[in-house]
Amino acid sequence: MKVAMFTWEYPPKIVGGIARHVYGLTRALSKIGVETIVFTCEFPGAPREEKTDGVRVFRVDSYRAPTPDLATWDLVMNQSMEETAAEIIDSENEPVDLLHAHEWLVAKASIGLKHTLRLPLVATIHATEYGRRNGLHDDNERMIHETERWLTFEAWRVICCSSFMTDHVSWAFSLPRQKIDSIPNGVDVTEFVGTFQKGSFRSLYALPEEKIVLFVGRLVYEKGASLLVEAVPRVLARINAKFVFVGEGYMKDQLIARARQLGVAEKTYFTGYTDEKTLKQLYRVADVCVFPSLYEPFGIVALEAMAARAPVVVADTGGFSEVIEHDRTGVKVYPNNVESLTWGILRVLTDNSYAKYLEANAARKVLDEYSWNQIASRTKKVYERIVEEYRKGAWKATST
Amino acid sequence: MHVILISWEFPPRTVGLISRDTEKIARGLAKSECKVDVVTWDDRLTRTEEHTEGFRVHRVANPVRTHVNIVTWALTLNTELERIAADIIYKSDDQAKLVHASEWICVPAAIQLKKTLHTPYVLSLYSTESERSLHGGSLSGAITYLEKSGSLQAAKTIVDSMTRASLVQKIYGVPADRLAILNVGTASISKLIEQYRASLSSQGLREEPSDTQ
Repeated sequence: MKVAMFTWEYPPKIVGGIARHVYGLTRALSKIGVETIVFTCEFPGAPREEKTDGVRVFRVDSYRAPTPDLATWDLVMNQSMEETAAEIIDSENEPVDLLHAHEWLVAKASIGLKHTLRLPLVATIHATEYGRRNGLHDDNERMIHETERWLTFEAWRVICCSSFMTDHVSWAFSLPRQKIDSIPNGVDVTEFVGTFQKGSFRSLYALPEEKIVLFVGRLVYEKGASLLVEAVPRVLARINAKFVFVGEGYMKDQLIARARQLGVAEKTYFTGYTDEKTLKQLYRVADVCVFPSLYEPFGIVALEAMAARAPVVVADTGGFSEVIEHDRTGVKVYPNNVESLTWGILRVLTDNSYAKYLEANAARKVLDEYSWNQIASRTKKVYERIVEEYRKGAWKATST
Repeated sequence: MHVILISWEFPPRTVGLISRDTEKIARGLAKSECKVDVVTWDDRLTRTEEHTEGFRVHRVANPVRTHVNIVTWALTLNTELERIAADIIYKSDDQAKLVHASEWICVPAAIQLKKTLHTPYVLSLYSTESERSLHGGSLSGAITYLEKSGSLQAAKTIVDSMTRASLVQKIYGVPADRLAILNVGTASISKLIEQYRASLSSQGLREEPSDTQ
């Protein structure tokens, strides 16, 4: 089976979680006999064409014209992506069986090719504009929402990463639930092993006597970093710790100012973006990883922490609610509640054997349920179902 | 010959010259025993199809209703124009097929039909963005890109004057042998068919005797 996959981000271009998702998925699919061709945006220093681990990648020129905003840039980029993909697919000796789009950002290219090539399209919706913005407030957001709806309408089947997202996508786009498959994100545990100088690395972030409380995520409203800042003095009243915030976002200055106002500036460290290697090592030296999101379609960061054997505290919301089993693989706290968040952090930091118990259970759960091999195998089943239905139908790339 | 006319306006919607000219071309081609389909926009929620005066008109809605500017509007509309045109091509018999797109607004669909279904296209440019928008701007840059890309990939770019032909040649680098000077609104239909035939033969395609509808 051969699949053409569309994504606006793919390593080394990493903006959010989609790049890593498509990277892990395509490699695992390749191991079980599904050939993938990835169409993505160019990135400085990355080759226009490459083949690694059985995955072919084509990076398209995404800045052919000046554009005033993201939506316009995206659609012009889609034109470019659609043209490139048409040429590549046309030149293949073995035909492509299926198109797979990730997010609204590649809707136009994938829908256009679906109709001109008459190939079935599957779409993964990682998050929605409605969820990201907590409603639709202007034409830009409404346009993105309608583009998402268009993609789910045109897709043969839709993949969501959690039951929470399945419910949400079904509601937001009036999409029949029967058309949606829930397949979680995956994580590659092998990326979290290997030796490094833990002591000297740790000393870059905290004093030896300080516990490390790690937050990873965009510093935006829905990720709840402001709740963690509010919890800092409450935690410090019981235990000595350093709060490390990895990520960037429009709330960064506001969060730093609030930490200063609370008198805990020297106990917080805003690192900005870090490279992948540093991030993985940070997970491994963290005493607890905290994700107090208000909206979380899945929460890949929790899986990464679990794979790195760091105990996790999450808000009981969205995908986190499904990934974490309270008191077994992590601690769940009430969303948007500083008291509860403080309690959860202290529960882990004050009981070492409890923390070790959570770590062991979590690591086992990641291996059993969230390895890319598991995810790829489930995704392949969706592909096979679609291809089988397509074969039986009359809609094909031949004259009728 | 089977001609698919793609235009963003068609009567009763008339904004500029394109609407009237496209209707005149459709009528003329139908009388010349060409098979003709018109694919155009209509601001309704459902697709409509009319069969009139020997040709068919397919009106499609934009799949995305809310937009931030005309470029985003045009690009999502084009996917729907592309979808209907592809359906027409798949259902068409073996006779030579050609797309005639009007203006930059219909360029994306024409390019994709060429790349995926190997259907050549001619492009009518009534004016260029450099003439319409003297002060430029990023939106203008995106329109210029589509106009340039469309005229460079067209089998023929049709303009109405020597001056405009020189301009298209100069700013977009379109070779002279792929430019035609013809006022599609006033020229005889036989002159347009000549350009269509030249476009087909330049792509190695030959016109077969057509069936009347």
